[in-house]
Amino acid sequence: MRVSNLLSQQIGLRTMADQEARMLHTMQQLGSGRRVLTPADDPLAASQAVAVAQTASINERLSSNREVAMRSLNTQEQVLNEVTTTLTGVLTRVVEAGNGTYSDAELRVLANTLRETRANLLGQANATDGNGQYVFSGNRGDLAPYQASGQLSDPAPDGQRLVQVSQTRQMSSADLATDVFGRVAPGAAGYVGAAPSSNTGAVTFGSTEITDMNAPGYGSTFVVSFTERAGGGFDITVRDSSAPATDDPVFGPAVYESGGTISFGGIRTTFSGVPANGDTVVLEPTSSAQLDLFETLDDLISALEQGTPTPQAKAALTNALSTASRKLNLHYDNILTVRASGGARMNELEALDNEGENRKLNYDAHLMSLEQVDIRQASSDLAVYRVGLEAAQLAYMKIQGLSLFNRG
Amino acid sequence: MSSLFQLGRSGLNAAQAGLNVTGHNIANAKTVGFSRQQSMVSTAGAQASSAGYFGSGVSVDTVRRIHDGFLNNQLNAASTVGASLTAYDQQIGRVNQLLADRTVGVSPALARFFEGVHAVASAPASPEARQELIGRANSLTSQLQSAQQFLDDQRGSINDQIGTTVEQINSYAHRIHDLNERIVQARASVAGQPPNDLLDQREQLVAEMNQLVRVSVSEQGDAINLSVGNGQTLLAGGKVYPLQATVSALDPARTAVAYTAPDGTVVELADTIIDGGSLGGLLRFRHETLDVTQNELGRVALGLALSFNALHAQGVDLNGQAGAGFFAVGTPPVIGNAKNSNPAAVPTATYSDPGALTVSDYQVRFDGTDYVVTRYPSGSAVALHADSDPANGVLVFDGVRLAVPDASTVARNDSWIVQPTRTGARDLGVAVTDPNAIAAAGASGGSANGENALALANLQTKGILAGGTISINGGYAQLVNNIGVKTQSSQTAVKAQTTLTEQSFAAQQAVSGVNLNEEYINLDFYVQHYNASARVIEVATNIFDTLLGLRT
Repeated sequence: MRVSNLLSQQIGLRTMADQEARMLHTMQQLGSGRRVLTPADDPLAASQAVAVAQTASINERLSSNREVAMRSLNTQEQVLNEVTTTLTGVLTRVVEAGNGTYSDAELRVLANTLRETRANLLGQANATDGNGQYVFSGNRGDLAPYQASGQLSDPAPDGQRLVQVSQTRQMSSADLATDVFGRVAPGAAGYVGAAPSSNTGAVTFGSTEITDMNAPGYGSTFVVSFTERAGGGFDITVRDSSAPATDDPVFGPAVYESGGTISFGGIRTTFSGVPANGDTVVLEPTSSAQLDLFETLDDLISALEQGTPTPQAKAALTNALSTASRKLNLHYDNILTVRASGGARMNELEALDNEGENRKLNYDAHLMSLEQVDIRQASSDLAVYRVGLEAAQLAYMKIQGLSLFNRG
Repeated sequence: MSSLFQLGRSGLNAAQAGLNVTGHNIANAKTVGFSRQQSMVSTAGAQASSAGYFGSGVSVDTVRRIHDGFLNNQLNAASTVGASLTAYDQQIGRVNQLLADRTVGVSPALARFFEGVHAVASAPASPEARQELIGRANSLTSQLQSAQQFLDDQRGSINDQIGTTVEQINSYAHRIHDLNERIVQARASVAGQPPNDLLDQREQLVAEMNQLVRVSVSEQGDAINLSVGNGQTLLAGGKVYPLQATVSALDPARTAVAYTAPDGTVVELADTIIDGGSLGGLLRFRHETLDVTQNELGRVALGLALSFNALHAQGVDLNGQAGAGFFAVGTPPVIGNAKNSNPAAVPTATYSDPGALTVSDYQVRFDGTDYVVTRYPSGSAVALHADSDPANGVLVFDGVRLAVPDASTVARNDSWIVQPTRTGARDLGVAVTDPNAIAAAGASGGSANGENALALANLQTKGILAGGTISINGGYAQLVNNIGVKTQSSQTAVKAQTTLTEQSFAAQQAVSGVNLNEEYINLDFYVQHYNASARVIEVATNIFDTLLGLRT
């Protein structure tokens, strides 16, 4: 086949240009450290890198979210820690007041102390975090959960403060005031007794024990009433408050014996003292009891201020102290439960943080494998192309010199 | 019997002719488009005599061009495809470069925007987080607009290039027409001798024209006729019918190529009809890649804005109001054909479902009774969505809700082009300026309520586009992938075609190319021939002198 000068020159130029272009591309890869300089270099890797980069950035953001949640839970824990200490003090006082050695004056002093403590607790319930938001107020961050009177504000606190702490988990970063100060811990069993202030007698009730949870009638609210018997003494009758009045009573009527234990509806309790006709005692299950810390404290304070001028007043105080003690213990347990739940959430956040760190390493490694240049491969490619270029150049020079005209 | 003088002289002539032709070849060794020439000689006949036929020497018949028209056509065909692929490659290479750095551009801005949403979700009452979110939203829209602007600039540049290329094509047509006339004249002035260099020049012009657009050549006597596309005449019968670059009747943002019909009317050509050469490459890039890429970008922008706005409206802001629009979104562009009977009767379009948006354009045509919707430019049918109400002039299809004008205001064959996602990225803005107006709270409200913001943040990974199968970032990654794949295959095609063109060139050069070694040998031969013929004349002179010297 004939080869014209034009053709051989063109071929020589093109081979050199090709080698130069390849060398240049490899130099760019080495210089920038990236194998994928433009999407055309590896379209699949380029689009995968876009997707992985987004997932990595989500991972980073979730880590920031977890910090926010952790700060919030820490703030809550600090507040509840103080509340727990305060409540422990109150419980001690209640026990002291119940041992009967306090005079009325001392009781009033105790009432005043408790007033201060109540104000303290109210302040803690209305605590704010670093951003000026109330900790326990749910959705309404700018509205204190409790009014100054101790009533819940209107509208009542509502809503979880959810934070996205992982791709699939939204965590509540603060608990509601009603869940902390106005609730019995879920799953608590037992009864709370209370004697209404309308009682004129001096009957007191003791602690209630559960004998058989599966007994019929267990879990209802029981109203224990004392009626005068013809011929002296009193009858004790226990009714289920939710049953119609025409139903038979759960217990009795039976002769009332002071200090005697009676069992009904799977529970057992004792009554002492001399009642008046029509006195009642209400035994409420904890699962349905309406509890509010400030209401509990208010009731306790007003009972302490009545003093013990009469045996009836003394009995009323004893009953009030029993009720308050029981309720405060329930409050205390509930707060410990909330703290435990907060602690569990903080533990979970730490575990998620660890997982997030691992994922970050994975994403970084994935991105590197998609985009980074393999230095050894690229360096050896560069050497190969350089040699190829030199060879093409030498060949061109040799061929261009071959002409009969040059040989004279 | 011819005299020795005449024999020698004829030899000298032949040798001189050969030397001339060889010298011409050597001088044009590097001339592009030159076909090497050869002087053709034959014996000059013979004179009869009783002693036999005595030859009368040599006569130079013609100078022949060593040339194969078939190989030339093959080379032109290969190089026109090569020019088209190269032009396409250059254009798509620019888009490829735009997407080169993954750490800048739309994808990181999208990630930062959603980080901002998360920040608001975790601290809904924080004014800093809200203000930051508005800032990041503005940053995102400006990235999208900037990418769109780049593509719009490229579109404008292609329009300009089409204009200049068409001018160049017309100029070539005129030059070829000139050469046609000169060749005809040259043929007429010297009967039977081909004007080789003029023919070479004309072929070179055709080859150069093929770099601009695929031209079909047909011979008409000594002149050639040119046509482009699928038969549109450019040059015939001694008259040039120029191409024109006009504003397209279908879409004023495009420059289209139009041809001049024999009766003088100008007829617009569809983008797919012109192929080959840089013009074909530019047109192919525009309708195959540029339109689609802008639509893909717009779909990402619209998918984000529409779904974000819909969710934002379900939330409550810090002022207690339901969320207003977060992003400002335009409407789908509807472009009436310039030949429509009533320019004022234009359908109005709004967006319906972002998940149903495609990356295609549509044509709506009134066929006399009904409005027919087809994809543009493919022409395939489009199924109307169940929400459509054609009787009341409402058509819903592929994420677009179209209210068509009353049938009495339009004429048959009036048509409109709908480009649902073409301007999506350009028309995107942030409607929220007041940080308190960000609806982060759920329906129950409250300054620490971040429920709606949590849902908004989860839009980042939610499937929104393509019927809910692709996320926003996934849609953008698809765009990157498409450009990468198309660029890669374009680069491969260019390399492959270059090899093919080179082979065709080698075949053509094997016949017509000048090889200096060959010419050296020819020179040598013709010099020897000349010397020998001169020697014959010298001998003839000597014989004559001898004859004259015979005196006594």
